[in-house]
Amino acid sequence: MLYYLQYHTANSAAALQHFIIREEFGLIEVKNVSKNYGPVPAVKDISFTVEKGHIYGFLGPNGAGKSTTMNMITGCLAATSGEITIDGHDIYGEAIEAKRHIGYLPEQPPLYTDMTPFEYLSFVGRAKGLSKSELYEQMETVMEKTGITDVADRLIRNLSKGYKQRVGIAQAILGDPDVIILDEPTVGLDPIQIVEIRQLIQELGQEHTVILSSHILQEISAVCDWVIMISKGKIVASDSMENLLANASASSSIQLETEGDETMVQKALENIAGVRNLAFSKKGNRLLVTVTVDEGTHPGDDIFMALRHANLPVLSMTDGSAGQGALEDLFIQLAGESLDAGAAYAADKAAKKEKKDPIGESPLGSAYYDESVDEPAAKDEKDTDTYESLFEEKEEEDQ
Amino acid sequence: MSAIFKKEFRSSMCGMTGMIFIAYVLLFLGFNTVYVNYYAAVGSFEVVIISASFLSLLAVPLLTMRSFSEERHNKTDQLLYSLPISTGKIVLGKFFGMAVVFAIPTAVACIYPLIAKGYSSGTINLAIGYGSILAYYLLGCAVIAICMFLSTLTESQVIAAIISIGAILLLYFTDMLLTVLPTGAWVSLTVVILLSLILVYIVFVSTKSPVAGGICGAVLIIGAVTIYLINASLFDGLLQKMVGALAIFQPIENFGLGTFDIACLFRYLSICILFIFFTVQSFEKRRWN
Repeated sequence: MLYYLQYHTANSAAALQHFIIREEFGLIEVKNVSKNYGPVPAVKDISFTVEKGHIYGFLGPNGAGKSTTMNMITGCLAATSGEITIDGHDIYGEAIEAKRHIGYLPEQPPLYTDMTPFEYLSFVGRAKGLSKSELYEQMETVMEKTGITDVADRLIRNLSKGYKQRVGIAQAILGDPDVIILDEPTVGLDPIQIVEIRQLIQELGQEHTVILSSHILQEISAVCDWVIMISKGKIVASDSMENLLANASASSSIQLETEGDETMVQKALENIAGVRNLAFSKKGNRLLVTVTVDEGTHPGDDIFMALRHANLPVLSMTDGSAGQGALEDLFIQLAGESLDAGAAYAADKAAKKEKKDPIGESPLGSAYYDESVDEPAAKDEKDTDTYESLFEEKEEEDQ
Repeated sequence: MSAIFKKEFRSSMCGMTGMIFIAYVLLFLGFNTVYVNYYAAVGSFEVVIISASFLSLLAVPLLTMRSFSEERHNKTDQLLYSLPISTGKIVLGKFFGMAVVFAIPTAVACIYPLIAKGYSSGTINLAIGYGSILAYYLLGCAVIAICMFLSTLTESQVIAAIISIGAILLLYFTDMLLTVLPTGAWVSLTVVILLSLILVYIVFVSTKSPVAGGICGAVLIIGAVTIYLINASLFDGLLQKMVGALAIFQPIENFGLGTFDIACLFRYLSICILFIFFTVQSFEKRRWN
């Protein structure tokens, strides 16, 4: 590197600058970016870096500022303050150069429905500045990759939602951009289509840097290797999936449902390594037990066997100390969510129906902006079902 | 730019609107040709153009209504914003796409003077005739630019069409409005002050600085009042001149007097450039909202 620096200092200051930009900055640099919609802040002073070769998951509840951030990165929306550079080019100052590095699929695929996918892609390719030979070569590859070759000559308006989404993705990867930005690419698709699109994203991740936004945790954890969590317009976590899972597992709990009384359960579990604390609640004639476990331990198997030996039937068991559950808990905690969110949402929904949501994304977003749900959840109060049902309800509304 | 141009031209021609527009313009030009050149036996084509210009150009909103409002409605504007093309090129591409659609019926009309000349005993002045066709084409382009700008203001094609038709009617009937406007210098001064206040408001809203707005207002109003006090006759009929600038259907009538009016052509060209600029600003502004 020293040689490189000496060589280029002597020869070209511009080349040196380019070298420094390439080496020391990420592919995308977002610095202290804020966006206000009138008086309402949608994104507040966020900063992050996107490096080459990862699949980034942009995770957050509806109205958290995901789409706003993506629109700002792609130049569709101007930031109120802050700076965004793509491969060293400012997205507003050197817009054309910066946009050459980006392929973008917005939340609603921007399709001209009176065209066929073939015509549409050749329009986008030409607009991206591809020469005729490059264009047809790339179109063939892209259509094959996204599986739309068979429908290339049908009008886009007659295609199913899954195919429309594929055409949208094909448009984004045309021109071989360094980074592909996909805003909620699986919204409104059926489960089979969701799996197919996820596979496609994983394939894309092998050759490109991909940024994927979603409010669905499973999607992010299935596809991404780096997660940026955003809530109320702020970044609450940005880490690799492994680190997040490790941190999440460190302080977690196991929920189980059994029959019997508290003393019997306590007796059965008292000698198991890793069990720190037991909390009980009743649900009909069943006993709900929350076992707080020590950091780094996974005593799930032992607990199950111990209860079995004590003739206590385990009717259900959720091991929050491993994987999905833990991550979900962590997300809810980081997002400042609480059990009250459900109630706050219901109350808010009635109120917000009257006036338009200033965030412009969803009434759920308003619930997250409610000051009453600002306190982070206490560990034993949280309820993953509440979280999931909230989003299910939102998705139904979206349909 | 060529990609946007081709797309715009293609979508006009593949959809019904472009075809209906061409048919409508040809119908009015053809009807007027038959009526003026053959039925009334008037041996000049510029009269045809002058009598057909307003009614035939009433169909321009059909062509322009979808240009930007549909992009916004279908959220395809996000694609345009994220493509590596400048806003200016997007707007120019769209404008030329529509201008070429309008060129089709105008090109067909270029045959009419030749046919008329074949039947007449040589009284038709082809230079003035083709000059009037050129002026008509540029007038059409100016109307396209104005209506394209109006289409960026709304998400609804119907609203875009209605305000465009309203604008064309206003431009056409401005001439009649001129006759009822007061001519006094003080009336003109009042209007200038009112316009200055509107400008001050725009400056204040866009810069959010009361100082900038205040300075701008003070300069404009004090300037206008000073000029009025020094030489009030400068304000005589100023209101007429200002409103008269809107009457874009009138200059083409000079061709009917047998003059090849180059000033008229430049005026239409400058309206095109001005409204293309406004369209770029309006499209760009959406990004900042």
